[in-house]
Amino acid sequence: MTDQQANRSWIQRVYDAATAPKTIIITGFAVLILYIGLVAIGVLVAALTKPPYTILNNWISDLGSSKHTAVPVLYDLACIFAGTLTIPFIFYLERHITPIPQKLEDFPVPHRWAYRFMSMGLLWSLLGSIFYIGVGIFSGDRNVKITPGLGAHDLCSFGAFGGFSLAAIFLGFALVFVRQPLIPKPYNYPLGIWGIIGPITVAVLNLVDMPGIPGPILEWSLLFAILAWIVPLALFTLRHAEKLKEIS
Amino acid sequence: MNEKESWIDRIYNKVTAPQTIRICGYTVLITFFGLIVLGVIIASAVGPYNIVDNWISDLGNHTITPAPFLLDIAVISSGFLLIPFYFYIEKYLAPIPRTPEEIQMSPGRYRMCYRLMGLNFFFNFFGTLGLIGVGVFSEDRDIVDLHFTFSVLLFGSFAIGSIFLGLRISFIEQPLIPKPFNYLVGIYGIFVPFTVAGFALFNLSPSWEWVLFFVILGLILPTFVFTLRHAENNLKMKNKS
Repeated sequence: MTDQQANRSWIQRVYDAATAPKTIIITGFAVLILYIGLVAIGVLVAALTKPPYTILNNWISDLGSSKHTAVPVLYDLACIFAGTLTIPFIFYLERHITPIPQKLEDFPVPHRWAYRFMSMGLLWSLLGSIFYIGVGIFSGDRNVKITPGLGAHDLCSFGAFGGFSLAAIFLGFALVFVRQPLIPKPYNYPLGIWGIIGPITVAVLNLVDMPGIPGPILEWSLLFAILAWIVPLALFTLRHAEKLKEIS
Repeated sequence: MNEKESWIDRIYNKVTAPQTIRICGYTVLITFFGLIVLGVIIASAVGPYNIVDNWISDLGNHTITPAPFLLDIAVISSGFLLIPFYFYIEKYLAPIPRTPEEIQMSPGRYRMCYRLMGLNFFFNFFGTLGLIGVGVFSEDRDIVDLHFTFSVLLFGSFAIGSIFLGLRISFIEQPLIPKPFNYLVGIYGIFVPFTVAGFALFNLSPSWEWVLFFVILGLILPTFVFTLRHAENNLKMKNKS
């Protein structure tokens, strides 16, 4: 360990370890496999063990309710894993899109808008991740009432979907308008524009009553809209982390 | 003048120049407080207005006051005049070096500065948008409940933004607010506006709205005065050199 490494505070050491390319590769592949795998298995198990579960007629949260599936723990674990494992990922994005200028080698310094967008992206992503862990902990089976009309599960669902949708707007702006090393041109444009308009549009459609479209379909659409944003972003980030690992 | 500067950079530098801050600062202090106080006096003298039973927004309602335009002008002009002030605070509390000399002059930079000031910038921006919206869609021009929406945006954004500003000025070295005032202003900013906004949200009443208004002013006003002082000092140094 060098002197410079030894002088770092424990917070800095935790931050460096959490945003190291190796950590990102492990957590990135883990979250992709575990989340998509567990949700897919959860849907299959629910459809087979407690028919008639379908993604057209049932809410996502029904996957965590013993009324609708024989194994609700699958979805609970998927949410807890996804919420936890996306935290290093967002810190990694922030670290590489907006490096902090400390020495001459850090030039050219990113534009101020990059710092603004990434600060909002980080806040909403962290809230989204924390609330998504909450969705797993307070599943459909453990929807403790906070107020007579609102359960902990409902609050966490709003927080998770709202957090990820708002984060997508600011990260999308960062991808489109700011020079960044993660998503190569021209892929940053379609991905960024989708982030800005896709998830939030579907989220708003969920909030307003859409006559003729059942609520569960809208909720599943929101999940797919967020996945269509996060999965390519995760893949490009993994590619970046792999390259950094090779260099180091 | 730097030839490489884009027109956006030139506008930004103009907007955040100490002289602009001084002009905007004194103008907003005089117009905002002057017009609000005048609005309350006129509404109380002529109409049935008092700050215990009436909402702030009632000052923009022609059935309650004969001069509803006073509040509209106060909030719209303050909304615009506060924009340079937020850019200035952000510029000095999260400085971004643009030349190698600048990076060597102030070596200690923390990521948290950029996070907190980025968040504060956006929440203040939304608050300012709320302020202008409240004036444009006053009680007299309240289309589809936009007045209430902008009021919530205004108070909510300033209350949340003050947490980030409070954290920045309390815990990290900064040039705007001297010690020990930074601790007082900062800790007040972290806890008070957000807590009072929570109470006001669950007890919607005119008196709570006025309390929240004064509580937010309790953060904005000292920050504003210290920022003006910083701009004045900058201007003096510039004039000397």
